[in-house]
Amino acid sequence: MDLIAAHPYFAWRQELAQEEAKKDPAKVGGPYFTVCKLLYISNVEAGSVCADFYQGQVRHVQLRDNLKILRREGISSLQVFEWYLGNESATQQVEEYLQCSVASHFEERQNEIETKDDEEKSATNYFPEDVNDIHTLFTKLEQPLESIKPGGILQDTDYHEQYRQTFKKKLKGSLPKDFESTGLKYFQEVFEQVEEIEPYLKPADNFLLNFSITSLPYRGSLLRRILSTTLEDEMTQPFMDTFYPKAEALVSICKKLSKLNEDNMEGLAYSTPKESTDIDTDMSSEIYATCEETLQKFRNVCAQLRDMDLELDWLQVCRTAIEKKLESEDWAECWDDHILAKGLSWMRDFLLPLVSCIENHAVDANVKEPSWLKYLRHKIILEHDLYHAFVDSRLDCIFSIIIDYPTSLPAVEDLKLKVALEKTSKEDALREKLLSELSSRLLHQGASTSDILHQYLSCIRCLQVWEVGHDTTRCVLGMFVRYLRSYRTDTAVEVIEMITNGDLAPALQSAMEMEDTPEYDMDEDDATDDDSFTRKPAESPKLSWYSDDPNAPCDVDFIQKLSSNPIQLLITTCKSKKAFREEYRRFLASNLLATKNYNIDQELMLLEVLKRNFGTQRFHECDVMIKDIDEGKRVDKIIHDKAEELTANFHGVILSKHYWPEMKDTDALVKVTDDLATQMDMYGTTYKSIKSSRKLSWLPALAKANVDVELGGQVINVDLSPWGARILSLFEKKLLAMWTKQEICKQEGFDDKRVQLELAELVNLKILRRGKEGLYISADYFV
Amino acid sequence: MKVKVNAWTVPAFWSWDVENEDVCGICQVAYDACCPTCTVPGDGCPLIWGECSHVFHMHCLIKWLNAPNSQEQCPMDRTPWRTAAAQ
Repeated sequence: MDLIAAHPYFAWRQELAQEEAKKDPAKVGGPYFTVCKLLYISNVEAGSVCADFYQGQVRHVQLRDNLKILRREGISSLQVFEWYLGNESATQQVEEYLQCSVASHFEERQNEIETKDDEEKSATNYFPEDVNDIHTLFTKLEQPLESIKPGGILQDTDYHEQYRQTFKKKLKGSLPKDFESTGLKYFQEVFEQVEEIEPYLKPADNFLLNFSITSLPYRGSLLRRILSTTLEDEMTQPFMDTFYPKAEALVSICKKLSKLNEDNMEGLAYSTPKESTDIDTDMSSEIYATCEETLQKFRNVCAQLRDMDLELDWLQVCRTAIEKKLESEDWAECWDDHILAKGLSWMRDFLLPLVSCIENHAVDANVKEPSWLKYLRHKIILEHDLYHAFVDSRLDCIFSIIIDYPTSLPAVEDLKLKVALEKTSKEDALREKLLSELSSRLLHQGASTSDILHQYLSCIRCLQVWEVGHDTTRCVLGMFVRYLRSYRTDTAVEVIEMITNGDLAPALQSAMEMEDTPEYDMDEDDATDDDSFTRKPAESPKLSWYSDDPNAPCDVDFIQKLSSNPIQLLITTCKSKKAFREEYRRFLASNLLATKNYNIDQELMLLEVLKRNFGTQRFHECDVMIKDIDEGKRVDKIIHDKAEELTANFHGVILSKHYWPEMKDTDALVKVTDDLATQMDMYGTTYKSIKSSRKLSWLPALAKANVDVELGGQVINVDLSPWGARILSLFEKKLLAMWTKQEICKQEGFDDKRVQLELAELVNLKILRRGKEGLYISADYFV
Repeated sequence: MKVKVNAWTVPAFWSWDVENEDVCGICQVAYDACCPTCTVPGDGCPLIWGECSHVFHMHCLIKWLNAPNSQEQCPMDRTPWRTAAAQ
């Protein structure tokens, strides 16, 4: 009895019971006596529990045992449960208990971490342990409910779920603020660890795939096929909502994929063997074990988090991983490889298996909405993320990609409209980026016209590879054309240089092969030549297609034809076709005069190409020029046959005056050697005898001497102007082969500027070199 | 240093051996170019010398002489056209 009296509950209960008995005598002998009885038989523990029960207090930790006690006392499960949950103060106590335990757990953890100096002992290392501890606590709190369950009463109630929800909510609130960020960091670390290990895994083992994705209804090669398919592309109709495609759609695709026969499977890009890193088998097994351990732990942590509704925003971690991968040394600014494809296979080999550890993709009875569909949806989301991150990273470098074209062709191809741009709706972004990058980095005073023209061609070529809309092409084209026509005066010269210098040889060739190159819109009158490239559609006569007005006319056919023909693209940049033709004539003239043995094949081919692009009539003068050379060859032969005294190495080139452009130095005076003068006279006389009533007026200033210069045993063959030839003969005659400019001028009576020019050329040809005090010395002088 | 000249190539303009005037009196195009109906000067579009000392593109003169009002006269001095012997 002492014991009973000594127990504080007893005293309190006694009081209460007496009061209750006063109110309602029927209750006497109820709770009070139970407590008394228990305490009396010295089962203090059980007595306390019962006392708590009647008092409304809760002892959670030992609840399982408590329940047994209460049951033994004949108190119904429902009563106990209501006491446990329905009693506000009781719930509060559970919550307080939860909060305290969680808080003290993390406090301890914090203290523990602080004692460790080592930076490696970061909170993320303890994350799995923490999660495990919290989970243990959580399940412990849940246990009483589990033991109530079999009673059958709770089957009709949702107390169980209520309980879980309440405490899950509470649990979330009790966690330290950095719980989520630590968790994400842990995820990230796992990703990194596995990625580090991954290269050592034998690709043939498909370890990650086999280990990770065990919960899907598909296995082996079929699973691989589903993973390596861009599911969207398989749809006959595009997903209405790409990020939440309907279950039936996904199921039907998977079914479709599973029906493909085995032969087709072999062709999958997935099976590309990777170069495996050679490691010895001991190490290999160790690595596999490590990997398995890491993944198993990771999977457990994820399962526990899921159980407590503490799912983290892991997609964010995946996105970071994707970005990191794209920024990695091998992949960032790697233009000569198809990084997009690599990225996708990385995602399918590495990221997706990891993701399957995070979520629960168990095969379940829910046929309509199996949980593994969630996984496929995640796959679609992540692939989209990859596309977006990839396109963004490439758009940032779009300028250098274009500069590097054609080396950067793989990078360019990765951006194709159908491959990436359309999927990410980035065509507009591409256009904006292109226009701003080009105008700030290329179309400025510092860039040479020839550079601009090269990039212009690359850029249009890229646009074609991308298969962007014609409006985009028109905008970019227009910007180049506007700039080159308004700010550059040497466009025509550079265009001709480019057309002829061989870079465009393949384009020339294909232009020749094109049977029916459409007549370019060139037939306007020369009077309007300034604007003769302008297309003037009837409806808006004032706007040119290359105007920066967004409403500028965009003739799809025209833009397409134009952008597929590099020659027309180049010619378009010239201010007018007349300007281009003038430049071309000058170019042709100097080339024809420099040609050896009257060889006109090269020029003839180019002229043919231009004619195809411009129309035949426009090049009448050039035709005559070429004919002059061709005819000249014949006449020269006849003259040499007739005039036997003529030295074999003298040749005339007879030109039709009115068809040749003004040529530099045509009228310059040059004294020719007497010998040469005799040859010219003789040639002229013979000419007259062949072509009656005609005479020749020589252009000695345009003469070319083809000479072999022997320098220290080496022979250089060069073409020299008459001045150059004379100057060189000065060096040849003098034993000490050195002259100053002034001496030469004095000796030969040439003007200073001319000599300067010729000497510079001879130095350039490495025949002469500069010495001290303005001396020019034969290059072989010290040899 | 030794220099060996392999070949000399010297360009020259050809012209019809006509004194003073340089355009055809009929088409007003230079003698050394060609008449309006031709595209290539020289052999294909020769000149023709009259005894009256006037010179024309041959094609121009033939066309003129075929015209009804030419009366086979030199268009410049209206003397009967007689082609000069080759020079």
